[in-house]
Amino acid sequence: MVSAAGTVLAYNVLSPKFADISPGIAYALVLANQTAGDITSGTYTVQGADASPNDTCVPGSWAPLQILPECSPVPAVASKQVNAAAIVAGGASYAVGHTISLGNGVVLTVATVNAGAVTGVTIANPGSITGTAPVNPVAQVSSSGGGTGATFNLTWVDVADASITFSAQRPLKAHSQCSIAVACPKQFIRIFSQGATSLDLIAVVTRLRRSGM
Amino acid sequence: MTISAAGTVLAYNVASPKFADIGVGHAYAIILSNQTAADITTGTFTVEGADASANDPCVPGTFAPLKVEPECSPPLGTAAPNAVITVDAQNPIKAHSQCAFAVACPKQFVRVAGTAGTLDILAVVTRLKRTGM
Repeated sequence: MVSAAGTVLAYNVLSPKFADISPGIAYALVLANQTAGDITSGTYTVQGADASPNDTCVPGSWAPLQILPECSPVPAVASKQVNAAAIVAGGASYAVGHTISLGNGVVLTVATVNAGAVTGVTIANPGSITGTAPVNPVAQVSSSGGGTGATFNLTWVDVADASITFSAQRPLKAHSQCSIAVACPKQFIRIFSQGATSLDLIAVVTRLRRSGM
Repeated sequence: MTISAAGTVLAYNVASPKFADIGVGHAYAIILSNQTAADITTGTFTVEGADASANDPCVPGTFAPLKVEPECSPPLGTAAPNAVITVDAQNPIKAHSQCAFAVACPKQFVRVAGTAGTLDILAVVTRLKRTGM
């Protein structure tokens, strides 16, 4: 048995406590049941936050991390986000770096233009809706520059909060633990608990950037 | 770019009476994590270890303080001291920082005795034997 001291960071991430996972290249969230009884209830939602604009060491606003459901039915509470935006009309008077707001929180950033017409965009904010997706093409609500007239076909995909629910059918067994990681997390993460307080919620950060390990 | 470490580590709250079974990995660390906005300037923490119970290899037997072997050629007859960490005003755990350590030759089960207060006392086991990582 050798020492791992200095190669990992560990945090209690039961909200309101949190972890800054940016010092490492890899991380895991561990839900540890260190009791002698199974945990058969409770929902644990992984939340993320970017750094505060005023202090990069402090989290800004928290929100549930979103996951793209895979290999399993989409949860009933799923919402939708934009994962692709195809240009239908390029409009006029746009410049690279302008942002285009399309409603429902969707914001695109102009990546390329041709004589003021948009020829390429990236998704700055995928927005969020529940229920039926808006009809395409979608016109802009506003833009950060003087551009007008661009329209887009948006592709909406189902997403859901990154949460784990334990039940009698899916318990966390006594003296066992469950380890997860959500893709594309924020700098700061924590777990919001609606359930058993006997669970230890720990984030482990590995492959630390400063040590090269 | 942040990738998943899920499945490559185990993590435990080891503030006594909770404990960790570190026998499943090749490396471990005990972490005293101060996640508050203030320095922690008091506290004495003793790392305790236990072999498995004679009746159940998954349950710890009697815990006792781990011993720290003196280094750099101590005088003959020097007694090995307990593995104790003392936090004081001269040696604080700063706000939003953490202290990681490992005691050589631990037992299968480890825990940390002491008044944790606002400190989180955690153990991480890495290089898990079952996964080869």
